[in-house]
Amino acid sequence: MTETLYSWASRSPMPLDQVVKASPIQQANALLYSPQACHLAQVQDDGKFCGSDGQPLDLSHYFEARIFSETCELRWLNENQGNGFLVILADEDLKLNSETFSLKTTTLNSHLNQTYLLWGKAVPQVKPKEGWQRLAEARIGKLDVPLSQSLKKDQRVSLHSREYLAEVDKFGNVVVIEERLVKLEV
Amino acid sequence: MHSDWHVGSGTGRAELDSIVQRDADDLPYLPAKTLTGILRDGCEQVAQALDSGMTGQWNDWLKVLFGDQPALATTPLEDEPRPAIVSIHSAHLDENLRQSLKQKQKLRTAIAFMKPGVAIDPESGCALNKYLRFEEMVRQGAVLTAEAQLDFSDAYPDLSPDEYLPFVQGLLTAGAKMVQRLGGKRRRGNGRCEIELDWGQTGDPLTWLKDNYDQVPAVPKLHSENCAVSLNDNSLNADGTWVTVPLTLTTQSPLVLPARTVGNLVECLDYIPGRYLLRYLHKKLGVYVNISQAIASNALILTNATREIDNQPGRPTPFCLFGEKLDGGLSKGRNVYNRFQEADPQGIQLKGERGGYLGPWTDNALPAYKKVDLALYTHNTINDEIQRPSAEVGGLYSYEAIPAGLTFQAELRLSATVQQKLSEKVNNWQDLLVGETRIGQSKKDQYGGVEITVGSPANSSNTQAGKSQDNSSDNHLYVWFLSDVLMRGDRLNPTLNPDDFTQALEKELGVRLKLRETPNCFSMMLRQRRTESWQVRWGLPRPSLLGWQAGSCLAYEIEGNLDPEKLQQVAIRGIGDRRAEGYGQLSFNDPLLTDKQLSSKQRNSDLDKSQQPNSNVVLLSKNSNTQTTNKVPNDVFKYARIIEKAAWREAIQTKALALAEGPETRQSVLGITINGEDSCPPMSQLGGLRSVLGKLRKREDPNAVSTWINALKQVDNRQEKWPGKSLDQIKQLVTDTNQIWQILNLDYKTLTLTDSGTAKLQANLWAEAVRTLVDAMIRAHKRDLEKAQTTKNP
Repeated sequence: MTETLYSWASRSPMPLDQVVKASPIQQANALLYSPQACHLAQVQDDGKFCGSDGQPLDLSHYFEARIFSETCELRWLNENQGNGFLVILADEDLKLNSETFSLKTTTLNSHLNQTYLLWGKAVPQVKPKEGWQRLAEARIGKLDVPLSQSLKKDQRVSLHSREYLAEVDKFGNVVVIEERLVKLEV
Repeated sequence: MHSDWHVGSGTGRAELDSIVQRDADDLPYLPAKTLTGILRDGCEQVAQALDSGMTGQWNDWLKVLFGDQPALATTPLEDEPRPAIVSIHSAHLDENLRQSLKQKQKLRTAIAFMKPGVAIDPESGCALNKYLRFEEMVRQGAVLTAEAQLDFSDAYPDLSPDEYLPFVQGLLTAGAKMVQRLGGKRRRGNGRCEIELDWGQTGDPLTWLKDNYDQVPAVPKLHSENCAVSLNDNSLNADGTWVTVPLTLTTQSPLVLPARTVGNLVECLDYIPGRYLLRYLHKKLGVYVNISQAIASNALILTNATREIDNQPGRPTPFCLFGEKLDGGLSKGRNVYNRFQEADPQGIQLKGERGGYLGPWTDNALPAYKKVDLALYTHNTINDEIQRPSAEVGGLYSYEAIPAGLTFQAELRLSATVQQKLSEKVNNWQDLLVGETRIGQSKKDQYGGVEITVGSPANSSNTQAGKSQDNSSDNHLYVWFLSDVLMRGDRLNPTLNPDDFTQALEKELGVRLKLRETPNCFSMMLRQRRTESWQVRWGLPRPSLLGWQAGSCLAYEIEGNLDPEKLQQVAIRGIGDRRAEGYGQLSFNDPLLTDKQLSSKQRNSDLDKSQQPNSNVVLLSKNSNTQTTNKVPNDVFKYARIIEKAAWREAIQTKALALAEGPETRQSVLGITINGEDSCPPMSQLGGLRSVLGKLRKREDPNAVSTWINALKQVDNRQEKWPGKSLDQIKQLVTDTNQIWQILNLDYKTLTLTDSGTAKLQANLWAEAVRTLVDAMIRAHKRDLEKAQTTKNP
């Protein structure tokens, strides 16, 4: 059985605060990288990125973002003065506007579901903002995670991803050609 | 050190089961990790005493000074671990002593000795079978000095020194007083020591502590560093011209730059990635120009520092080079093939060259080649409860490290805008970069000391990056990766597809590139490498960096007109991601890759001649500094004498045994011979000589041996038993104080450290030398006699 990986790249660069508006993504989480910190953020319906304090984040510091939901993943990388191309990955055709995006499909052999364990265990005494949970570990300190499920003491959170396998040469060798982040789960 | 000590390296050697750790000069030292750990332990005791328990403000201050220990935490902690502000480096012997010992192998060996030990069966009280062991011990009396820093400015910049310093000094001084023993077997009498902290002219911190210990200030809050940078600012652009500043880095202590961690071993890189120096750059130039901004705009590049070869940064060996497996290769300096230009020599097995660095191209000869031989250091974490290393708190772990004393070179490249901004603020801004810093893992103690010096800035065209692309060879383009290259594919994913690299290069150069097709030769030699690293500021690991390894190379055919200006720009600015950190450096059309007859070339072998040892021997003196002597403190002088004496004893023993082996020497020195199956004189007489020699103690004492000989001569019956003039010969040996030294003929130059050493030791060790020689000769004589008797009467 073959599968298809759909990927769209924006035809022109755009700043980070426009990428959510330009895409059909809803109810998503984001991994944001700045020189100062690596943040997990919640993407709201109006396209704003919120931190664990509930406040919108200042997006001008971030040089790379991976925004993910169960349907698709958005990637953005700063190329020039805060502008970069947007790439969208999905398992199904999202019917995006071809004037804004160019579509590329890749034939796959299959996919694998993977799970990464996040650093830290739940600390119960702290009551964070709605929709967030706090993990902590002596080695790194605290890590706030956007998660609506409630956590019990010492429970851990995992990040689910999907690895796509495809043939890469004429000899039939199959490798992981792509990986998409899916969701955070207890 | 008041008793013999042993800080083990975790390994053994030959007959020794456990050897002591030695530094780059092959001398024992106290590793910073040992010192810090033992001082922390002392301070913990003081803090617990002052707080009357395990918690309280003094205990908190202890964590501020020495940092948190996340490995010991039993519950998740929301606060990130505090860094240590006390930074203690390794303690070494006196500099003058080290310099003198450097040139004398025998004395370096004599500083330590072999100590046997055995385990006792608790039930029988007897030695356990198979439990005999030999440990190396360093002789007592050593004085070792370490540098230490107390720097609040990074983590707690708002603290006022007047308020906290006396308390900190008090705690550390009291902690140092608590330390009485360190190193291995310290509960068996070894490693008894005293630590003194030199605070300069500040009075006695202990007296101060005694009066003020109950007014301890509150523990400060950790300051979070702010380095906000806006990507939308374009004031620093990377335009056409670049300025290059060559940086020379000399390692002052070993460097641990983690490549990956395998079990409890941290493997180390053999170069210094540019990213390790960015913090230093921020500190030195950050006041004058926004470094973060310059990095974000790609207007600043710090290349990787690689081993210096002929005053230039070494270049990673290109993978297109192959050496003859049996008799060739870069390390041997001959029979190296450039498989981009030369076909496979049929019938000769080739092996790809990997690792190591090459010097600049020299016509008609192979370029110089150097590798970094990484050192390995083993440490442990002691579990306080059981006072031993245990897996729960970390146990044993090893660090691979770049050794101290090596020189590396890197380049700082700045775009004209950044350079202009700097020049407006400071005239000679590059001089600001001269200094010392600490980089890599465990930099607060034992590792990471680097000294940085600066060459004169050059325009981009004069540098390594600018030179190579001059000769465009027959419409071919040869690319050599001077550092790892990270690229993104069309899904913004890290790519390892060569086509993605080709496309990116085509875009930069404005030409079409096609992989060269040549029969019997390669055109693409790529390897991939994954870099895992920890982002210190994030306090988290950073995503794996996946890219092509330095040393990869490609040969293209060009379609279209190649603009040399563009080629030079790419050579300077690099390609792909994270160029400011040293990634993405390329070299084009290097003569090494275009050379068609590399296999016929050899390396000139006169490259390493500069490393001749200094023959100017300097001795240590108690009194004066002259051309041939260095004045040292009294305790250092005393220790030098201890080492000397041990080396002399060893040399006397060895020489005496060697001399005693020959029957002719025995006859010429003592006049004793073997006649058939008989000893002349008989063994009973020789027994008498040995016994009387045992009383020989000092050169000045009334000589018991002479008296014995005189008494012997009075009795004819006995005198007759001694052949010829043997009794006179022995008398001469014990009365003429020079004779023994003439017979032994030791190499005093290699055995002496102090200016008056030879004369003093000849006086001190005279009796011992005579005893040793005569004893050895009588033993050898007896052995030969027994042999003669057995041959005759088997």
